[in-house]
Amino acid sequence: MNFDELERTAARHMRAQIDQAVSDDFALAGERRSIRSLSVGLAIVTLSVAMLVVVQLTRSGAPVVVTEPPAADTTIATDPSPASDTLAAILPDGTPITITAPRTLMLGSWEVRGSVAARIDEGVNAGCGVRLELRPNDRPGLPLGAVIETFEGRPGVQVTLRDSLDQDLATSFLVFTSERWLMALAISVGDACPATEMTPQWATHLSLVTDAAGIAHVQVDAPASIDSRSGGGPSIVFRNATDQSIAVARRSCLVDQPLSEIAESFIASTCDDSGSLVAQFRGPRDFVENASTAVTVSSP
Amino acid sequence: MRVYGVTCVAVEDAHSIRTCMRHHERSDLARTGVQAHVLVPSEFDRFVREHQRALRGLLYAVTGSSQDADDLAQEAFARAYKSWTSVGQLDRPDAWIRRVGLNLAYSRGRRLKVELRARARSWSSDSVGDSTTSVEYIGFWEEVRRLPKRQGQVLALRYVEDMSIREISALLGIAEGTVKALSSQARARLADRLRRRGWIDS
Repeated sequence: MNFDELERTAARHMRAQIDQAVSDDFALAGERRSIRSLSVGLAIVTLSVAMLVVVQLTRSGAPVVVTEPPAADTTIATDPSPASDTLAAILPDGTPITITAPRTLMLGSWEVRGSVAARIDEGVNAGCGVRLELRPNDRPGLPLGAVIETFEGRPGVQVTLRDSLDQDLATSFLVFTSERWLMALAISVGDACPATEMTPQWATHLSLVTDAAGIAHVQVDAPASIDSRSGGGPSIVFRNATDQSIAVARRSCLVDQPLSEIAESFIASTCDDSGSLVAQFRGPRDFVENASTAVTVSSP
Repeated sequence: MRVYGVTCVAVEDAHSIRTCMRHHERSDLARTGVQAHVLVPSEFDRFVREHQRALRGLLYAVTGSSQDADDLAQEAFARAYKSWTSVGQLDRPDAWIRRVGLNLAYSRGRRLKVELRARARSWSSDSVGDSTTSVEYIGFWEEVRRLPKRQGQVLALRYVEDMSIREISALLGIAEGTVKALSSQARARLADRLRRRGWIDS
């Protein structure tokens, strides 16, 4: 075969592959599911998206809390439920938790501004953290962004989506034609709440080394069973034992959400071929050291 | 516990409000405590409907991943949305969105190289047609993706969208002579690499 021939056939092949991949994976799938919405246009789809925004208050499993700050290169093995299971761990009926309507939350126009207020009645989640996640419905392992604000057990906590998260939302995952991209806004309460017993879904291995510059290097050896092609990957929650502030890093090996966009403290990450996740965590030395006092590693 | 209550607010489209409310009645997932204020620019909607598939196809070609293509297309459209007052006034907003999508794809180049290695294993199952021949096509596109940014963009537009030199020039905002040169360089480099892999005649 000469070059011209291969060039022509490869171009044809690609166009055929596009017809197959694009149709099956996105548009037609969306049309099959949302034909009615599509028939009246994107506007309706986006409205549908807005309607499918999920705000869930959950109280999930807690990480194992290591009470003593680990020495360098200490291995911490801990494991709450996967995120999807976390969402299933809905608070029992009657639990006095209320999400008040955000004043300026706009979904469907793909911008989230202002604040989401989660009023958590006293005594329910005292001491727990609040986590906001935005993610596509069909890819729960791939959060669009997350922001953690200190809760410290106070009721009536106001959780504010930061500008950076707005930017992530507005530029990363929008909804145009398919339900595939419907966004779910999940508010998880108590993800970092200690002393809740949960059965580990899978064991993992996490090591943290603080270098001379005060940068903690965290490596998570993800289990081979994680399908990174589907957007899977480990997540890490750092919890500062001093002020209870929390930073969350989630990423998959292939679908790369820069950690710096999730939490300012995370400055770099790489994912090697073995599926391991390596993250660097930057902060004051005492924070970095304390950050290792509660580390959660979970499957997507 | 979930709190019910969704509000639909569309500033431009009353029909959408009604549809929203109907959907609200149907949707279990809508039983949340969210007020969704929906802003719907109908002109932008049409733009997305008309061009999203072509854009995703183009990005699929340059990334080799439908997921990446979807992500990038979403991001490109998001940027268009945010700047729609100016983008919508362009003679060819579709060219703008392709250019943005391609630039986004290539800005992820370093990451994609890592991903490509892992993805290569899955290509055979995604391929179309005879498997033996498909390997060469797949390899061909792998080499296209390894070309320098501009060269790869030019060839992708040519192969996937069957664009002329003039069209590519307008889309990428570079001179037609430059497009010709890039195309020629890219094809020569491509041919050399494919020859070394033994896939084309010497």
